[in-house]
Amino acid sequence: MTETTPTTPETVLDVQGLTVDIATPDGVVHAVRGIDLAVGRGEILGVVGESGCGKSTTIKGILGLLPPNATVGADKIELAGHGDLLRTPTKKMRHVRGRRIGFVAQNPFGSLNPIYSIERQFHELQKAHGTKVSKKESREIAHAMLDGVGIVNPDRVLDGFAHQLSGGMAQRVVIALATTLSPQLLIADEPTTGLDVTVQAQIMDLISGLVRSEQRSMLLVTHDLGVIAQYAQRVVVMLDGKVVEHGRVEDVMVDPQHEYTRKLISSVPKREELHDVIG
Amino acid sequence: MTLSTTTSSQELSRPRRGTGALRLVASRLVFLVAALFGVVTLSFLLVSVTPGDPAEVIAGPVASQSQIDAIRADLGLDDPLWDRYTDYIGGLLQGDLGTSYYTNLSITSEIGNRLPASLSLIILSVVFAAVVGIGVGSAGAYFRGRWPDKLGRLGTSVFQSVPDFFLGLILIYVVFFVMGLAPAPSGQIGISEMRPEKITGFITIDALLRGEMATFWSAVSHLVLPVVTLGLVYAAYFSKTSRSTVGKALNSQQAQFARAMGLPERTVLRYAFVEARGTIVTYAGVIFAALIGGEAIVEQIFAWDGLGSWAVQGILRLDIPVVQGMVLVSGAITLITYTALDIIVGLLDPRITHG
Repeated sequence: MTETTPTTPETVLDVQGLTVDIATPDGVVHAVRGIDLAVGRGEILGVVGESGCGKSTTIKGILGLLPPNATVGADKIELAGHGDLLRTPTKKMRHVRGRRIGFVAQNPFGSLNPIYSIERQFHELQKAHGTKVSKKESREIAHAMLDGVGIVNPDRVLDGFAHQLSGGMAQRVVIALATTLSPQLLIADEPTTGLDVTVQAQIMDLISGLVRSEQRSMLLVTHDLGVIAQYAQRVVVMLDGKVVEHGRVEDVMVDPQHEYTRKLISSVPKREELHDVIG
Repeated sequence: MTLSTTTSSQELSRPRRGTGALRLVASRLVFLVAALFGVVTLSFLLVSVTPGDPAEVIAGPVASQSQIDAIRADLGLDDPLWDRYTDYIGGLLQGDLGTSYYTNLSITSEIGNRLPASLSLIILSVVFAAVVGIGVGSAGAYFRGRWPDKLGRLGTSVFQSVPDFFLGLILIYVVFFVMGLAPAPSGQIGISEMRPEKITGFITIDALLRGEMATFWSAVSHLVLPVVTLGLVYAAYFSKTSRSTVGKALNSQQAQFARAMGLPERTVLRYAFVEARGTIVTYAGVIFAALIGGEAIVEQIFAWDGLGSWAVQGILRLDIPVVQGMVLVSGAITLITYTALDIIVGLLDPRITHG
């Protein structure tokens, strides 16, 4: 096993012993069985595993977004500068989401409201967190945010609706929304799944740039080891609701300790093999 | 740093807020005119090419052939089809829909008297059904599986399985006969009461305009039971639809993202409702159109002198001009409703307006 202590001095998110039990008509499902995670300041922690391993459930557990039939337990879910999320009352938890933790999901068209204009969605977000801003100020902020995520004509996007955007632009809008209130931590759940391959790299460059430039932190959930290798500093490998391996990305990729990690890495096509196929 | 990856401006189609809506309205109105013309033609053919001779029906079983011929000539039934068609259209444009075979009353004035009675009943019933049904359905969707949902679903299945006329009879028995809270089912006002002099044809509105408050309250109290009867039955349909559409929207990724951004639950619910409202508005329109003439039995039970009971009499007596007028009115109202629906739903959803 590789080193467990965070490589950066300040830990932004410290999760220990997280469990999620989901009550179903057929009995209790132990979706997450005691996992530890720590994200340092300015760090991208990759969480990798196949679908159904409990990655998304872990995120929802941290954010307090699981349905009522799920029970979340943990020794602690410590968010720096705030306290233990598990002991945060529901009403305050709402302000943690959006203001302290930004969230980017896959499929931006599913995330954005299809009926309201993009401008209104920025306004709703600021209104929800008690920021007393006029429509004009809200628009100026939104304009600056869209500008910051590389959108060329922010005015046109603000007046338009989600369905008028391309996939890449819609995900940029989502990222702008997620970072509007300057959260210290970003959680990205498969942020590039469903986007064109060329756009995927642009979006990942954008997110990792935002993290680095502002000394933010990110929990990056993906099944794509290539993305982890390129952007994350440390990685956690999940299987059946447990962490089977964690460590620095270069260590885990070069010298995987767990059988499952080895299989995951060997399932990624290597450059030479691709050359063989293409001929 | 490779932060500023550019996106080409062609990726975004220009939002056309005004023109998109105008184009939608214009195209629907053109369609409406064409479809109304179809309804007119259909109601004409109903009399002209359906089997059976109206002259024989009017003359009765003991009439002689010469009497029948006289009636036929009088009605213009010997003229070629095309001439009768142009006559019909010409009459229609002047507001003339012919007269009833039995009462000799003008169809136009009959419709003018009865349509307001039916419309006030139907509009209030749909509003009542929508408010109750959407409330119950949305609560059920939000508290899925918990007691408000269970209670709502129980009520929904009960009222959906009870025929409206049966519910009406039960309500009359309990609320009027046993409890004495509602007036007798004597139509729009009490038997001994005078209708206010006609302005709009809607008794409640006319009573208000003429300042006859006693008549107004009587008309309102006479509306309660039939509106509750139809309202409860159709609330069940609204409740079913809103539970599933609002529920779907509440479980969508969009709702999850809204929560993940820290939007309050009432905003999340509003987002879900906004997403679901197109379906619910469509439902309201379909129910409204179906109730024009479709509430005939309930009208009969409450002695309501509306279109439905009039049409049923007309059909039973083979009073062709009455049936024809009814086909025309209900067809036209249905078409206008659906056109209005298309426009409203389009305006509510930018994905349609700015397609």
